[in-house]
Amino acid sequence: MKSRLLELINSRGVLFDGAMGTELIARGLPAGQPPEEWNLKHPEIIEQIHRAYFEAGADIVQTNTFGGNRLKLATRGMDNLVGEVNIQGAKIALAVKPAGGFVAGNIGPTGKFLQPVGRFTPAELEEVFYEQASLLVEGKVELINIETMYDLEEAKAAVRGSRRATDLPVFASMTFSRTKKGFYTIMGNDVPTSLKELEGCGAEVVGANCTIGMPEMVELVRLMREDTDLPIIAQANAGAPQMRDGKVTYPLSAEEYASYTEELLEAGADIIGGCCGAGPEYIRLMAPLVKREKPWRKPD
Amino acid sequence: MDRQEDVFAGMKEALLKGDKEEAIRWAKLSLGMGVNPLDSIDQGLTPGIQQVGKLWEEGEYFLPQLVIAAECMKAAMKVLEPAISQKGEKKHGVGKVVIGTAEGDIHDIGKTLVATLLSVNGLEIVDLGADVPIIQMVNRAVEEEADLICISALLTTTMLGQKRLIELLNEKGIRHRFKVMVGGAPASQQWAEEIGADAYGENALEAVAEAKKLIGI
Repeated sequence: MKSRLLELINSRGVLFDGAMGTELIARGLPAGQPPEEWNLKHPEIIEQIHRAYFEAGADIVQTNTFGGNRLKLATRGMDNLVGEVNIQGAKIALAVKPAGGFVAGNIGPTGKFLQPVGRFTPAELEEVFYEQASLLVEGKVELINIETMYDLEEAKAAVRGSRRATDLPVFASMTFSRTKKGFYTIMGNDVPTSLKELEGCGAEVVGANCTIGMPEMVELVRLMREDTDLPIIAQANAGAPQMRDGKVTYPLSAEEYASYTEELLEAGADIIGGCCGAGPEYIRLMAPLVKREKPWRKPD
Repeated sequence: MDRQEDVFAGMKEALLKGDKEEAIRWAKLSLGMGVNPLDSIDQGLTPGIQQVGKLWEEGEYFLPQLVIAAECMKAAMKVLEPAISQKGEKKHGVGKVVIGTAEGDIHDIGKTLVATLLSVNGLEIVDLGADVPIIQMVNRAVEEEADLICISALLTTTMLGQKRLIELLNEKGIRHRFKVMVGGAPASQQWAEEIGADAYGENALEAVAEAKKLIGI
């Protein structure tokens, strides 16, 4: 891993950014419109959001490229824009990056399913992710963050594709929900297998994001800590979304959400950010608690 | 010589194992034995898919098992269907459902599962697919003289399409003509009540139970 980033992770808690999707919706992104389109149509709004997160204290922000893979863009007839969407995405974030900050290239799921549930093969998905990672690297991101993966095989394809595209650090997060038997992805992947196999493919940081809020994420981090020695990244939702008067709201306030920060760190999280519903205010409140020296992590 | 019960058990097992070939084999065997195809559905396939649903609720089965079981069921149904029509005991005419995933939303596995299960229960299904403009859903429901409109959404953004559907029906003065059920992870009983829907299907099996109640079968 790049020494500056590794040094940071080993020396203190690292703060990731919060949600992009919910911030875009709050700024008028219409239902059903791909967020990546705004990299081209409203770069100033994307820039505003990145700036807000950096100003809130985030060490790392993610590019607005969650659905920026060819397969997902194709469902909206935008696959011809895959290059622009990713490179512009990187450019926008880098333009507002402060000294000491980092820009992560964000990679999310394709929305397609592997055989036998769907018709795709791991090799096909790996190519798609290789393309996206290459573009993000061309745009000069400093690391790749794969997230919200619900299928371990797809996640592995993303890690492999990214690993092929670059020597930059690759982070990989899955999204788990709690069932009667414990934390699993919707495809049935368990936590220990997921973390082990992601590491096996070359991920240098592993973790979880989305689906769950607090305190569930604390519990999940505790479990993840038992299953890996890699740095762990955790980005919880601000609870499960609810509809109030025709608007989507998230039940956890910034204060409530941030109140779990200590527990998350003690449970073993090295990098903490926010997911759906957790905006700049959430990050701002977590910053002083996260960006402290970690006596329990020994430097490499 | 296999008895009826063996056939039904075999069908159920095929669904639990996700073995399409076996499901087809049992379906063919049942017809060869003269078993009433409607009994095969009621006592073999349906209990099979219900058991799959239970295992999913218990956290033992996951999405792949649900999808594959539904495909096994569809495959078995394909074998049985001609025999059902032949007998003139078509369960069709029991009710018609227009189903789709809301505009802007491409998620369709849950919706397709519900459509499959509803059709197996004898309802006539008009599956509009995913990313369906709300106005299209309304127009098709009117054209088809549907009894029930089922609308699925997996994103908080596209969920608003469910609210829009009810508003549109009200605006056109035709709300009373249809029952409306909403589904998808972000939806809830509370949401259904808030927007004036008739029911909320928490999962595919619940959706079928609610649909049957709404249609009155």
